[in-house]
Amino acid sequence: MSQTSEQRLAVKLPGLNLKNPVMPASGCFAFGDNRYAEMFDLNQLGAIIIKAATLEPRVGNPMPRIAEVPGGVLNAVGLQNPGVDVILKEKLPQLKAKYPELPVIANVAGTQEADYAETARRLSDSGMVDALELNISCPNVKQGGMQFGTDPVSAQAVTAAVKKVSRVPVYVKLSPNVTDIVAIAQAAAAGGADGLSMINTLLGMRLDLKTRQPVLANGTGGLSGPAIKSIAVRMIYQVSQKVDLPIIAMGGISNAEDILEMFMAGASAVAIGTAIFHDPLVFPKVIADLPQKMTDFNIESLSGLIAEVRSQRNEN
Amino acid sequence: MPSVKKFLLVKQQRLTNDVFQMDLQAAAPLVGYLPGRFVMVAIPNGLQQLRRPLAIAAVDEAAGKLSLIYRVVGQGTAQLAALTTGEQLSILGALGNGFATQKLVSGDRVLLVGGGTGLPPLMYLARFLAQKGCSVTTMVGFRTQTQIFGTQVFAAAGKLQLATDDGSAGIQGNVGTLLAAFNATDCQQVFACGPLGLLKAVQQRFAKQTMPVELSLESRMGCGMGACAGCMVSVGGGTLNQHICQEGPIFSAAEVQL
Ligand SMILES: Cc1cc2nc3c(=O)[nH]c(=O)nc-3n(C[C@H](O)[C@H](O)[C@H](O)COP(=O)(O)OP(=O)(O)OC[C@H]3O[C@@H](n4cnc5c(N)ncnc54)[C@H](O)[C@@H]3O)c2cc1C
Ligand SMILES: Cc1cc2nc3c(=O)[nH]c(=O)nc-3n(C[C@H](O)[C@H](O)[C@H](O)COP(=O)(O)O)c2cc1C
Ligand code: FES
Repeated sequence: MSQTSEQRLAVKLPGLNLKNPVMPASGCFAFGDNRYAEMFDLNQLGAIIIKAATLEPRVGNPMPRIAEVPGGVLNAVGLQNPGVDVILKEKLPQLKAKYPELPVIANVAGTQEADYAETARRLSDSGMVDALELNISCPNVKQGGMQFGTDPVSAQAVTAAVKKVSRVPVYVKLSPNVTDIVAIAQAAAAGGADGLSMINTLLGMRLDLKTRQPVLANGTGGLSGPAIKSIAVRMIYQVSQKVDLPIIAMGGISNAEDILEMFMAGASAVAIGTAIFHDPLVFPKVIADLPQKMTDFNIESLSGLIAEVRSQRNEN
Repeated sequence: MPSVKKFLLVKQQRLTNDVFQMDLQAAAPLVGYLPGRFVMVAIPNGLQQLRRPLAIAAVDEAAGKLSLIYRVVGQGTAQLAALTTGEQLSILGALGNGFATQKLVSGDRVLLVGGGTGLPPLMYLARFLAQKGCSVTTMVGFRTQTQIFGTQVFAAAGKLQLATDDGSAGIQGNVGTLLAAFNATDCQQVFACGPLGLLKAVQQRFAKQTMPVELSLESRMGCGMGACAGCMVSVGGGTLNQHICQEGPIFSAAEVQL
């Protein structure tokens, strides 16, 4: 192989020059201020996607918020966060002070267009984030969230509103809870999105046989983990046929093979959420495993793989 | 600092019909396995994504020995009970804050109150405090005689007060009955772990007293590492403002909202 292993893993997306494509998914790694950070150096990550920020603080849903299904997890955290101002004053400066070189993607959530735009404006003006991930796909809040991500007209409008005020690239995070994911992806593109992020969790539910009531206090929750990987692969594959935007892929990734599968589906970078809970060292592990796995499957570099996959998509 | 380690299962013992003890051996010494802290145990079949939180029931840090005591309540614990000697487990630990025992000195009188699967962390605590020279009284409640486990440990560490709902062992009644009869002025610190009703009873019983009262809480957990916000609790007048996995699982009875 002619390329160094660093060159082999590097990927370039709007606003993001990443030494490798691997990052923690929003909501599964707080603001980097968790105990995983004691177990490995976060500087190894390609980037970090922080927990959702909303204009006002949010307490989130009542307990219990976590349930389990075979191969997956249901969560109904409900976007608990201290609000964008505390994030800007405390969380982001702490993260930047510890890891000045680590690219940061801020996840933005809201209940209406105006507060999405204002939250996005404050985050992008801060100079502390490299890109925004527009969360129009959270299934765990009554207002806003997924309602923007399941209707092409609202999806385009909120994307355009955020694009108008953001100084950094905007990745729109899509909901899998739709009949036609391509239509929403096209709407985000029409709204001016610089990239897509997919997928958020699938709406699910579990009942307790003893109480005959839902296990989660919120009733329903969002399904994540290996159980949803094939859905993510299918949706990324479909979207990359029709929309020319780079995709940050997530949904059930737990090893280097899963990452390569996402790239073959059409991804340009990946995020890992639920798998961290099972394997606290999943990040250093997959980053270390990638070069050998790439060699096993005759992949010289990830950027080469992205170009190859995208050129095939365009021919179709 | 938490770490994830492989442990060898050296002994699996049935303590009652549905309570088991696993004795585990790590390849290296353990650090930070203090009383009241917990571990997250991976269920080794690949289907269960979430690790299970279990308290440290006994430990020999230098020798790398750890014991966990668990009740089979669902799929994960059923899988643990099916493991046999020689199998390996991936364990993340030690997590959480642990009981605040720093201020206790030899001769101090302490009260431990426990029930059900709240007993394992108190077994470790009772041994730990007895070694410090504290005078340890433990109140435990069970439904009936056949469910009893752990009482030898408490009896060996100090005084044991036992209650069963049906009176088949100890006095007839529950921990509430024992608490009502307890002379609260005679005690420097209280520690409790057990079902919500028990924690509430302890919180109420000592509400007017000034000594520290520490409650060990349970919650469903995603990460156990302060990363997912799956385990929040309201403390000191805030709303769902602390992580049971990180700032807890031990909280001051005067501060925590049950
Ligand atoms: C800090 C802490 C220490 C604990 N120590 C002990 C101990 O020493 N011995 C013991 O027997 N039990 C203990 N528990 C409870 C134990 O974690 C649960 O009984 C166990 O997780 C049930 O798993 P399961 O797969 O059998 O049940 P399932 O119902 O199949 O589990 C499904 C999900 O719910 C979670 N869950 C279910 N019940 C509980 C519960 N009561 N508390 C927390 N999570 C739950 C599981 O972890 C899993 O994520 C402790 C809990 C906490 C939070
Ligand atoms: C506990 C938990 C909290 C989450 N919080 C958020 C969030 O705040 N914002 C968001 O866009 N996605 C959130 N997600 C979704 C993840 O970012 C990710 O899209 C999804 O879990 C699929 O990836 P995975 O299978 O690797 O977990 C959350 C997921 C989990 C499990
Ligand atoms: S279990 Fe994830 S924050 Fe406590």
